[in-house]
Amino acid sequence: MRSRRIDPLRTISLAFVFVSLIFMATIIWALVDGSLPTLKEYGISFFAGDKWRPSRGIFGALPAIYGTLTTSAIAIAIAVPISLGIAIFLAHLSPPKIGAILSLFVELIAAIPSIIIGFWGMFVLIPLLVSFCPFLEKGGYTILTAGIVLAIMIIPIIAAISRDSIKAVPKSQKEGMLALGATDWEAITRSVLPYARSGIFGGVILGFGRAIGETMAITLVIGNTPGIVPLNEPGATMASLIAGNWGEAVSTPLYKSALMELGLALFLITLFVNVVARLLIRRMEKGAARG
Amino acid sequence: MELIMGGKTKLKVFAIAMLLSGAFLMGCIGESKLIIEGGGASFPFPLIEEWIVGFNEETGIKVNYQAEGSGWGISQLADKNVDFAGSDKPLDDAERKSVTNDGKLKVFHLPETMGGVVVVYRLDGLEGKTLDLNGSVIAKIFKGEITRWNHRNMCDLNPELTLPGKEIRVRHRSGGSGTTFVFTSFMHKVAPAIWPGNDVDKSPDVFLLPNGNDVGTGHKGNQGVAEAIKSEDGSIGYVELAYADSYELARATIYGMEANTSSIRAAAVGVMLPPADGNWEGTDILNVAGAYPIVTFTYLLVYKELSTIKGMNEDKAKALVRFLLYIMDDKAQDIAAGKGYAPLPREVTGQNVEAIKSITYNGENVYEGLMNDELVAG
Amino acid sequence: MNLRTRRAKDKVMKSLTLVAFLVAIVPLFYVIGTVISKGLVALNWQALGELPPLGFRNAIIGTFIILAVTWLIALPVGIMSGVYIAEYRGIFARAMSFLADVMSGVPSIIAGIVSYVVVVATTRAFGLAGSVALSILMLPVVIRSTEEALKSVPNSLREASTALGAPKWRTTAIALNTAKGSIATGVLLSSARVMGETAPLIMTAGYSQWEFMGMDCRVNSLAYVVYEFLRYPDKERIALGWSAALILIIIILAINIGVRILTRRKYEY
Repeated sequence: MRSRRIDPLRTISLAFVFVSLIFMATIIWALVDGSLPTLKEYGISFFAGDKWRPSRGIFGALPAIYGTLTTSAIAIAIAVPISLGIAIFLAHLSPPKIGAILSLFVELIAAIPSIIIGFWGMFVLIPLLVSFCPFLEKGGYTILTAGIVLAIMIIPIIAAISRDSIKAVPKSQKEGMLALGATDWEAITRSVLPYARSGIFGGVILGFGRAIGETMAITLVIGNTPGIVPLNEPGATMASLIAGNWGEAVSTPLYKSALMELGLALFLITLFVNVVARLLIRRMEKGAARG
Repeated sequence: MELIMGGKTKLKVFAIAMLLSGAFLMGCIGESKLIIEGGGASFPFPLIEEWIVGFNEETGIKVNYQAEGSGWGISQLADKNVDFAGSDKPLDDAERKSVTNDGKLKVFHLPETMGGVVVVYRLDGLEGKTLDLNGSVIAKIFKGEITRWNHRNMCDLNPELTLPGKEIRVRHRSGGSGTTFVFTSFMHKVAPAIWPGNDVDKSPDVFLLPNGNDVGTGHKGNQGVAEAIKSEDGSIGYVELAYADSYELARATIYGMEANTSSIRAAAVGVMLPPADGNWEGTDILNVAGAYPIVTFTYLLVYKELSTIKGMNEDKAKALVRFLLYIMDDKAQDIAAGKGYAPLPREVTGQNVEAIKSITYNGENVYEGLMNDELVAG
Repeated sequence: MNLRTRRAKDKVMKSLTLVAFLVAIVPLFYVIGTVISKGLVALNWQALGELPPLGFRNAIIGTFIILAVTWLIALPVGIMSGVYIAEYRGIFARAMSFLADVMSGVPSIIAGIVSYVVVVATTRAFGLAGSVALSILMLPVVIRSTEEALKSVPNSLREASTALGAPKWRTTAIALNTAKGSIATGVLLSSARVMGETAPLIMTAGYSQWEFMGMDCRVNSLAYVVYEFLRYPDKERIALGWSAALILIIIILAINIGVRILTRRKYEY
C-alpha cells in the first residue's frame, strides 16, 4: 500500500510515455496538416489520378503507388526463396559452431547505409546488369533494378526472422518425421516450415514494410520517372518522389502538399503493414515461449 | 544497500552529464555568430564553394551554401530564412509575388556567372569524332520524332560520319531543374514548331510524349544523367559543361559551335539587361550570333533592404555586401573559367556592383557603412 | 518416389540453401569491396583533418554531435517509457509496447518531412531538426530495448530489493542497473543505423563547409557528404566522397561487429 501511495516512478515514467505519444501524434498531425491543401483541392481523386505532372498542377498518386508496390513485390519475389534457404541453412544445416558468424554476415548487410547501397547500385550494379540482361533495353535505371536492390536490403530481415521462427519450432516436430523415415529436407518442409509459418509470414511482411519505405537507394537507381510502365522501364516510388523533389517542391504550396500527402499515404500503409507483421511475429514469439 | 545507492548515484551522474552536454551543444543559440547562409541552385555550387573558400581566406568571414535546388532557395528566401538565394532561372510572377511580399519588398537579380548546357552522348565506334547538331534535330530527338542515330536529318548534318542504326536512348533530369529549363527554352526559341512554348519548364514532364510515355528516362541531378550516358551506348542527354568535362563525355557541337569559356561568354557581350530590381523573366541569352547557343546566367537573389531577413544584423549585412562585391570582382570571376563556367563581361558585373552598393540595412546604406569602417580602421 | 530420388532431392535442396546463403552475402562483400577500393584512393590525413572542399573533418564530428543530441532526446524519453511499459504492465502498457514496435518501421523519409515541418519551418534550427528526425527513428527501438531488458531481469532481484524495504523506484533503478548492458546494446545498434540515414538529414541538418557552430546552424554529416560529393562534377571530389563512405561504413560495421561479439546479440528489426 505504502509504495502505491508514493510511487514517483510511476508518475514520472508515465509522463515520459506521454512524451513518446506526443512524438507519434506529431508525426500524424504534421502529415495530415501538410496534406490538407491537396486533400481539399483533389479529395480522393488524388489517389485515382494516373498522371503526375507537377508543372501543370496535375498530381495523381497512382504512378508512385504503382512503383512502390511493384518494386516491393519484385523484392519480395527475389528475397523470400533466398531468405528461406538462408534460414533453413542457418537453423538446421550449417555447422553450429560457425552458425553465429554466418548469421552475422547476413545481418551485416542490413547495417550498410542505404545511400552507400544506392551509389554502389548506380556505379557498379547497373553497368553490370545492363551488360548481362538483354531485356533492359531502356537502360539500367528501372523498376526492376530498384526491386533487385531492395531485395538485397530486405533479405537479412526476412532471413533473420524466419531463422528465429524455425529455431523456435520444438525439436520433437522434426524428430518425429525423421523417425518415420523422412529425409532431413522432407522433415523440414513438411513439418518444421508449416509449424513456423506465421513467424515466417510476419518476417516477409516486415520485409515488405521496410521495402516500401526505402528511400535513398531507390532514388539513385529507379530513374525517377513516375508512370505506370513495364518493369524494365524507369519508374518512381512514393518515397523516391518525395526525396527527389522536396527541394524544388517547397516553393510551390500545392506541390509540397502533394508530396506530404504521398508521405501520409506511405506512412499509413507502412503502419498497417507493420501492425500485421508485428501481430504475426508476436504470436510466433509467444508460441516459442510456450513451446 | 550499497547496490541501491550505486544505482542512484550513477543515475544522478548520468542525468547531470546529459544536462551539461545538452547545455553545451545548444549553447551557441542566441549568441551572435557571423555566418552568411545561402542556398538554392546546385548548378553554380562548385564555383560558389571556391568563392567561399577564397573569401574566407581574405576576410575570415564564413559563408555556407546549400545546393538543394533553385526552388528550395527561392522558398527559403521567401520565408526570409536564407541571407541570399541562388537560382538558375529568374523569378516568375508567382515567385516574385511571394518573395517580394506582394511587391512591398525589392529583390535584386544579380547574375553571378554564366554556364553552358551541352548535349552529350555515347556512341561506341565513333570515339574521337564530333557530332554536329542543330536546334530542330535536338528538339526532334527529345520529342521522340527522331529515334535512330542514322536518321536522315542526322546524316545530313554529319556527312563525314557513318552513323549506326542504333536506337537513341534519351536521358534527362528527373526532378525540377534549371538545366532542363534552359535546355527547353533553347529548343523552343530555335524550333518553336517542334517544341511548343508550354513545354518550356524546369519539370521533367516536358519529356512526356502525347501517349503519356516518357521519351526516355529521368535521372537525379546532372551527375545522374552523366552517369547514365557514360554507362550506355546509344544514349544522349544534356548536362552542364562542368559535368561533361569531369565525366569525359562526348559532346555535340551545335550549329558548329563548341562549348567553351569564350564561346559561352560571347553570349553576354553587349546584351541588354533589365534593371537589377526589375522583372527578369524573359531575359535570355540563348542562340546569340557568334556564341555557343545554349547559355544561361545563374542568379543570386538578394533583398535590397536586408532587415527583412530573420536574424540579420549590421555586421552580417556588411559581411554579405562584402561577399557579393568579392564575387563581382575580376579575381573571383576569373576562377569561373577553370571550373566549366564563364566569367561575366564587365558591363554585367558593373550593373551588379551598382545594385550591391545600394543595399540597405534598416534604411542605412550598407556599402557606405563599410567605407566608413575602413576610414576609421585605416 | 523411391528412396534414392528422395535422398538425392534431400541433398540437392540442402545444397541449394547453401547457395542461397552465398548469393545473399555476395552483395555484402561486393559493396564493402567497392567502398574500400574506391575509398582508399583519396583517404589520407588531409581528408580526415581538413574542412571541405579538402576533407570532411566537420562531417565526422558533426555525425557524432547529431547522434549525441539524438541520444539526449531519445534516451530519456525512450528509457523511461520502456520502464513504464515493463514495470506497470497493463493494457495501456501493452498497447504502448505494440505501438513502439509498429513505429519502428516508420520510413526515414517520413521522419525527415515531419522534422522539417515541425522544427525547420518554425525555428530554423537545422542541426536540431536533424537530431529530432533521427530521434523519431531511434525512440521506438530504445523503448523496446528497455522493455525487453527489464523484462529479462529475474523477478527474484526485485523481490529481494522490495523485501529490504526499498521503494519501487529504487527497485527499478537496480533492475535498470542490471539491464543496462542490454539497453546499451540496443541503443548502439540503433545508433549505427541512424548514423547512415541520409534522407532525413538532407531535409534538415543539411551541409556545412565549416566547423560545428551550434545546433541552430547547419551541421555537416558523413552521410550528407557521401550524397553531396558523389554527385559533384570533379573526380577528386567523388574520390573524397567514397572516402567518406568508407569512414562511415567502418564506423557502422565496427559498432555492429563489436556489439555482437561482446553480447552475442542478434539484430533487432
